[in-house]
Amino acid sequence: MISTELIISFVSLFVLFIILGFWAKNWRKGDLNNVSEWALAGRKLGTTVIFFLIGADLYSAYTFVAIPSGVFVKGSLYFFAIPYVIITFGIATVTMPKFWTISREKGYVTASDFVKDRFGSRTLSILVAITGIVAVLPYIALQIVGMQSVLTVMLAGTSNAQMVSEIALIVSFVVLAAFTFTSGLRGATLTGIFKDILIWITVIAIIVVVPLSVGGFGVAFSNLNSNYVTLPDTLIPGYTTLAFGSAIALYLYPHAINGVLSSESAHKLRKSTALLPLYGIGLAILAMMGILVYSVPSAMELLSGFPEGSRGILVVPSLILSTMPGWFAGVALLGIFIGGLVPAAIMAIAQANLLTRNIIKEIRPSLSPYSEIRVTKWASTIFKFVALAFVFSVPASYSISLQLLGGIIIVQILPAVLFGMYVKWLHKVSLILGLVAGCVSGILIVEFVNNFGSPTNSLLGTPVGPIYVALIALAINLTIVFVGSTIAKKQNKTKEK
Amino acid sequence: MTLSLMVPLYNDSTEFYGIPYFYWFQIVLLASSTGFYLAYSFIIDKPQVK
Repeated sequence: MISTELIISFVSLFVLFIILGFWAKNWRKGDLNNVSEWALAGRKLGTTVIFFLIGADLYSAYTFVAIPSGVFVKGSLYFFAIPYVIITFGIATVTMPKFWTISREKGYVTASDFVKDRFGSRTLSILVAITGIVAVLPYIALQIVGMQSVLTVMLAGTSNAQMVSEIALIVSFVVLAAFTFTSGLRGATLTGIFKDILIWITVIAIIVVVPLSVGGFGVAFSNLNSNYVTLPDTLIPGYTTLAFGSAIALYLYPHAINGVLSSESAHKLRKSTALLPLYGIGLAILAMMGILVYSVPSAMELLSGFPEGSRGILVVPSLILSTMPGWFAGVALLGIFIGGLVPAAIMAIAQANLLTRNIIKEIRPSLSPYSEIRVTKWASTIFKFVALAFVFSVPASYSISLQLLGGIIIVQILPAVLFGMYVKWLHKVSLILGLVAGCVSGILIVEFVNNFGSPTNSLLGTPVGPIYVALIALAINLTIVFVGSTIAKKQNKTKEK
Repeated sequence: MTLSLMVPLYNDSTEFYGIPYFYWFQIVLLASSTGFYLAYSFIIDKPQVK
């Protein structure tokens, strides 16, 4: 049973979170009936705020739940998240300031805006928007699974635990929807900073308390199989391709683009992006909790009360509950809880932008700015509840699996968005065909790998070892794009002659 | 960035404070990458700042 101190600290900090979310509309005041103000906080966030916003945006339940869960179940393979962080922010430090500069000049709010203008293709722009919306939906669902994991551990042993957990999630989402509706990205930014402070306090406490309580890292590692100590040689191709494939995908997600475009300048964006690998240290510490937990008998006992398949996602909350004093466990668990809530808000804002600007407005170009912002705000609300309904209707393991599919799908817009900034001769028809072929082949290969069942594995066995399916599908996509664009270029030259 | 993908270089169990080389090497690399990226951002932005 959870202690009263835990409940008091959890609930009082959650009330503070709500107040901050609603108050945010007064922060750096702007006309919140303007899309740029509501969805991008007026594009005037500085280095420190952008650091926290993108940090809050990208270090989500994936960090607190999915990665420690993967390390707990499969060992060192899931430490791929570290090279993934190193590579993704390296690429972003170089490319995203350029994307920001282009977008600022032309007034783009989404990647689809850029694609439409750059290639003059409505079809490609709409496809990029649909890809973004579809890929983010399971990502929001994963955030909810993270929140659910906190409630599951907190409510363990109480009567009607599932019902209480579902009510708590619904109430949280109603609150989130309400302050996102009124405060837009400002609400997500301020609550994101609040969340980051709680998470950093938690990470520092965990890295001090847990290793000490088990007698050091050496004791924890000595009790485990070798696949937890080093990476089996057969998994090296899987490790490197998972890291690289995930890294090139991260900044293609609409919520990442949203964070980028809310920066005040390219210079400030570059500096804050360069600093973002620092968050990875927190990620590494949390990932290692998937190993340390095996040496904490009280946490293992708590975990043994849950079905084997769901123990992984409960690793971090269980460790917190078993090793920290009640009041601090409340602080730490709230950090993880809102660590899912804040990214979900930013993701839903980004999805709504894509739906309104790049799909609805294409069908109804006469949409007034007033109608545009109203539709965007409501769409953002609806997307949150669609994800919530999804989590309530399918098992948690499905949400994590579908998030893997999301990564495979989103990377297919790389040729249009990232190469589109640097390569001048790419042809729109080739990009469309490449995007469709990449998405379809990616989904089919994942289904094949999982024998057309639940997608729990995203590595395809090849003669050189397992390879992340996203990269195979992207290779198909890129082949079509470059071969098609070369043919189109030659045809144009012939016509000119 | 390239170094982080050269797994055989650091796929070793030698321990430092009980943490295998595989883990602590990558954490050190992560921290130092921040320094490299920050240096890059200052070099790139220098002319613009002037």
